[in-house]
Amino acid sequence: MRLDGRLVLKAYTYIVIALTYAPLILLALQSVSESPLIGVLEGFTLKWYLQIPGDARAREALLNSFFVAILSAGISVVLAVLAAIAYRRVRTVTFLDLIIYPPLILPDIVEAIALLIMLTSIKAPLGFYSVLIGHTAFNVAYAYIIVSPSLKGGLGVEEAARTLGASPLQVLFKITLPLAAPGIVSALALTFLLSFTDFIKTLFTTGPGFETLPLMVWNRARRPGLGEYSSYSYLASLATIMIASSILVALAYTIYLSRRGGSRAKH
Amino acid sequence: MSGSPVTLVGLWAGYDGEPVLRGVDLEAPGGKITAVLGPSGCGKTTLLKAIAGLVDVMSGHVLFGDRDVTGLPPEKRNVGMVFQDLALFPHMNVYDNVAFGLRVRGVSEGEVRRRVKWALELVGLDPGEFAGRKVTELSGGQRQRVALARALVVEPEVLLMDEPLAHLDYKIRQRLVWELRRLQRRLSATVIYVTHDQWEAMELADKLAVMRDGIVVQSGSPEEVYENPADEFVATFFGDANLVPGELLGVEGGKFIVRPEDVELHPPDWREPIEGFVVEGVIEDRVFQGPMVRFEVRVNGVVLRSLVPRSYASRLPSRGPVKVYIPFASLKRVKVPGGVG
Amino acid sequence: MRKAAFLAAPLALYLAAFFYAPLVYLALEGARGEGLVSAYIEALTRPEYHVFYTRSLVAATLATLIAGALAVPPAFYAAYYSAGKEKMLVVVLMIAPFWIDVLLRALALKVLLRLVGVGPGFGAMVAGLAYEVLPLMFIAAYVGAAFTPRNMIDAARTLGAGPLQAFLRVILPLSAPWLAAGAAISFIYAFSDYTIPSLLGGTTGYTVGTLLYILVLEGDRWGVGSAVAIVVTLATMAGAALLFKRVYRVEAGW
Repeated sequence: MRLDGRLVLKAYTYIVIALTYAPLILLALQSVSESPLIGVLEGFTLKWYLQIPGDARAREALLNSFFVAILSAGISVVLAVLAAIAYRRVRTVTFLDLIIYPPLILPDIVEAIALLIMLTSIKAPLGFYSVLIGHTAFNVAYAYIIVSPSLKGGLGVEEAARTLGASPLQVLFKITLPLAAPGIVSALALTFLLSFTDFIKTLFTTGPGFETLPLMVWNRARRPGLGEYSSYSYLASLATIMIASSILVALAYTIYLSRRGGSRAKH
Repeated sequence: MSGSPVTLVGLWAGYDGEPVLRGVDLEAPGGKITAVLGPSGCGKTTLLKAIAGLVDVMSGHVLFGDRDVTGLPPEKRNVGMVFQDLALFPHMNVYDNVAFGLRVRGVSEGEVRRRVKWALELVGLDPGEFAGRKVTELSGGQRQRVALARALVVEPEVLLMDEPLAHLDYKIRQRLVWELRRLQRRLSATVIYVTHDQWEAMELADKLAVMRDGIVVQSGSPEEVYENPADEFVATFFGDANLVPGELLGVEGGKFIVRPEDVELHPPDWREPIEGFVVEGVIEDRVFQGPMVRFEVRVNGVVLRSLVPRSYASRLPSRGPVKVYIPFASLKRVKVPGGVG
Repeated sequence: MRKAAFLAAPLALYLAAFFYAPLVYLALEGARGEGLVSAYIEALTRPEYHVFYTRSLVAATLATLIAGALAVPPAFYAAYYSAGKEKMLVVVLMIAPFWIDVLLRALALKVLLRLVGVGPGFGAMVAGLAYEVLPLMFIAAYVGAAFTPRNMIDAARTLGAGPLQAFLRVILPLSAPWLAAGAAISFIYAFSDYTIPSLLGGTTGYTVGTLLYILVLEGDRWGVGSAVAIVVTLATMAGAALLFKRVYRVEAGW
């Protein structure tokens, strides 16, 4: 009876996982379907993907997204690493811990409206910079919680290295940075993708003429048509690219996390 | 509550199809303490979990008296278990923790109150003072007592204890070991006590079982095991032992074990006895250990440890030549443990 | 340590300038023009808005319940009944969608719903919201379970509790605060979301997120919009406080 209960639970778990991934797989199938219509999955073609380079609006939106994302990721990881170094020896709850979590938890629509109101009140122009500022506000928080443990983890080993005769600089390059590298790379990749694929915050903080890829996809998806660049299958190809990159980075990061957590929990 | 004997027959058990126990045979006599001693990772905890019904048994049997409980789920076995980390329920106070086993058995609240009071008093906790306390507010020793009361209150057929004192200070540990022994005598409970600490094992065990790599390599009374260790592993894990190559004694091949207290040291002018092995040695180190003094003596290139009563040690030099005497009766030829080398 | 503290200043200043300062502007927005009190009164009492609130309330409640029912058993399975590679697989697969933007997940779900014959509407919207908050519910339940050692079940079982009793008397009470916090945050997300209603809601997609969009981006009624947003913020903070109180209590050790 005990074994049966466990099997039921196991089956349920895998059904939920299948349900979670079925839409993502179906969207990928949609993006290679001959038909432009949503829900009509037939044949196999890469024509929707091949259309992307010819879509001037998509090209511009992609570049916009890319520049915002790369700058946002760079800025937030630099700020996060500096802060993590400052607090790496502190074991108690710090001031930073208290201010870092609200940006992660508050619904982004509220954050976005607040930023819009402030920027408008101080008559700041809306567009590239307002979007960058908005994305970086949640990205710094994510970057900090990702980077911070990887910088804290090396403390004991660093002390060991010092007693073995390594200079502070040698410790930095031979111990600290190699140990923190996976965390820093994860933070760069994840913040890049969070910014690159962000929709709500961009929607509320952008200005006239500045459109990112998710915004463009959303605008067209609200009224999908049969036009060259407005069919659901074409939009699915853009969305599939974004989903695939997100899921790859997310999987790599969560596997890295659970490995580390797992090895720590073992003994 | 006079407990049943517990018998394990050819028990294979483990997790997710991976066996940890590889054919354990063990008889734990009823109403006695059986101490299971072994290094970490040898399967001690899995052994207890197999008796409790918490791991999958692949083959073999678990018997409580004549009752075969192998296929029974834990709640139908009537065991009491004290976990290594105690596993007290953090959302319940002391009273509710101890009452848990009675309540899930559907015992009436009046009876629960009476039995909880009995169990708390049994382990030396004043019910008036402790019943309402949160378990998070207790000291290590008090938490230990609550865990014991919780396991005993249901009058289990067998009490299983998984290194319950491992995290306590030496002094508290010593007191709890003595109390546990008294308590067990009073209740004539069957106790299976897992530990990696040979001092605890000697203090508690009516019967000792030494485990290694998922099997019981030797069992018997602590004295039997100490006097006649089955192999080199048992000899060095339960008590200290010198391993003496046969060549040193003028015997062909093989190894002998000698307990350090059987290696006698005497001043160089000592008159040799008729029987026994006598040889010249050189004292290289002297370590004061309270009632005994430990010497390290080099004999023909081999370093032997010797334990000498404090009173006699004063006659010996701290360094330099000495006569080493080992009675023939103290020399035991040993097998190298099978397989692992 | 004190020497290095200035290194944290850039991050703290960034958050102060672009996260906390905007919230102050948000809180004060109603005071300009329309008047603070009247903005809140309008936000709460105007009958035209009530349909947005009730629809969001019902949709978010349903979505949270569905997500809970879907996420909690896998969390317990991962925490207590799986090990090694399988445990990692379940956890990783359940959490990974958290990092995919809701817009993209909505576009994906739209295909599945169309295939099973569900067009945009209330049902599709609830499904979308549940799909959105599923990883959050899983994380909350899994973390709660991870803080409740497997030994708790074993202890309950050796004391005579069956699997169901062990779950009801030990695991559920110990996980309840986590589940409650996860549900609170999931509810707030679903309650205030705009993406899902805009793509899956159809004509019934008039929810609080839509209301915010209309008030702020289309109607220029910023005072009322900020009042609505502030209410959402306060509710979120209450939910989060519940969570962190629990986290720090657990970290302090029991």
